[in-house]
Parts: sequence; C-alpha cells; structure tokens
Amino acid sequence: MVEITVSGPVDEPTGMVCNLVDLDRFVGKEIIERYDHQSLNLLPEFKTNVPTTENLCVAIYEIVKRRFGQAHLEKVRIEETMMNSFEYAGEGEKL
Amino acid sequence: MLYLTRKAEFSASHYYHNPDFTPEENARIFGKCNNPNGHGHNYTLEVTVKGAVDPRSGFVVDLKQLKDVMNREVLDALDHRFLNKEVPEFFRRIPTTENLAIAIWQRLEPKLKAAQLHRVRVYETPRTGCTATRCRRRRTVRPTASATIPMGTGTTTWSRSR
Repeated sequence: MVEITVSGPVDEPTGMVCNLVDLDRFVGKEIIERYDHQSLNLLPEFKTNVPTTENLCVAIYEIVKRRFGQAHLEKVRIEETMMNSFEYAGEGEKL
Repeated sequence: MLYLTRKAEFSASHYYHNPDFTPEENARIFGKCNNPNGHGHNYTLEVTVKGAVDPRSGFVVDLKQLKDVMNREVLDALDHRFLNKEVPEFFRRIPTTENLAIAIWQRLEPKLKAAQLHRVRVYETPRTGCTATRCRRRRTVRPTASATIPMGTGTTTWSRSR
C-alpha cells in the first residue's frame, strides 16, 4: 500500500487543500501504471539501485515532487507487509 | 533520511499500584487497574528507526537484524509476563503504557547499531497508546499519551500530550 501525504492551505471557495480526484488521477497514471505488476529490476531507476522498498519509496517521492504541483508533498509511505512500513519525506530529518 | 517502522505484538499482564499512596488513593486513582491479581493486554508495538539508505544494499537497516533485536531485547522479556513481577523496570515503577514505551526505548536504543531509534509507539488497546521520542532539548526520552489513535493509518493525530 502506498500513501501520499500532501499539505497546504485550505482553498476558501472549494474547501480543499488540493482536489483529491486530481491527486488520485495523478497517482494512478504516474505511480500505479508505472509500477503495478512490473518487475522493478527492469525499470531504469533500478538499473543501478537495488529495488528495496526504501529505494521505491524515494523513487515515488521524486516523481510526485517533480510532477504534482497542486500541493506541497509531505511524505510517501509504503506498507510492504502488515508488519513493515517505510517513510520518506525528502533529505534531512523531516518527520 | 528514511524511516522504517516494524510492528510486533505481545501479551502481558499488569496492575497499577503505588506503595506511597493510601489504599483509598490507589483505589481512587487507579480504579479497576489496582486489582493486585492483574489484568491482561494484547499490546501492539511499533518501532521506527531512521537513517540514510545504504547505496550498495538499498537498505536503511537490515530488517532481519532489527527483528532479531526486537525479539531478543523486548519480546522475549515482555511477552506473556506479569510486568510488575517479572520485568525489573517495573519492580518499582508503575507499568503504565507511558513507562512501557520508555522502557522499550531504553532496551532498544543501545542495541541498535546501523540505524538510529526514532520512535517507540505502544498501543495498549486499538484506541489508546503512547509514544516515546527523543526530546531534542533535554536529550531525554519523552512519552506522549493519546486516546483514539487511528491504527494502521499514516496520519496519526496525537490528541493529548504531557
């Protein structure tokens, strides 16, 4: 399971930080389509990096950071199993 | 900085009693939890460590190692124990979730080598729990108590702190 957390001021007319439909569509197109049912080892970002959940977390963070402009990206969290999860919020100690 | 959270579960029993209080005070403050025969909880523990991703392995920490340390240092000592009678930290200190989170922090921190301990979260029930983090200013472990913790979500709101 992947969780994307974004933040920002609540827009007065819409009452939204960002339109969830847009975020959902973005994640579907840019993240799910890219990684779902793929062999991660064959993707260019894992040519030299081992496709650990740590590195997948960073890769997803970089995509959202670069291409989703509607709100500030806080963090990406991946639940690898029920017992293990990984979070990345950019360089430095953000959490 | 990448954060890794590993979950574990354990069962233990305890009761709350302060020998400096009168029996009436103990009963008033601790209520049902003051029963010396104890009562049990199925605890959920979440340990979060942080560190840089090793460029060669892609790991922030070897999960197997973290699991082994948690098993050895925490679960072997606490699972299926009567905390007041079997765990030295609680011979004198009351085994509240707050103190349990601090004790677990103190057990784990010196044993973690590759990554740094970031947070210890202990749920006594699915709705109540407690978090220990390092207090940056005083360099001590600070517990945060909370009610109504939405379990299994990434956006947790801590409603009460002390």
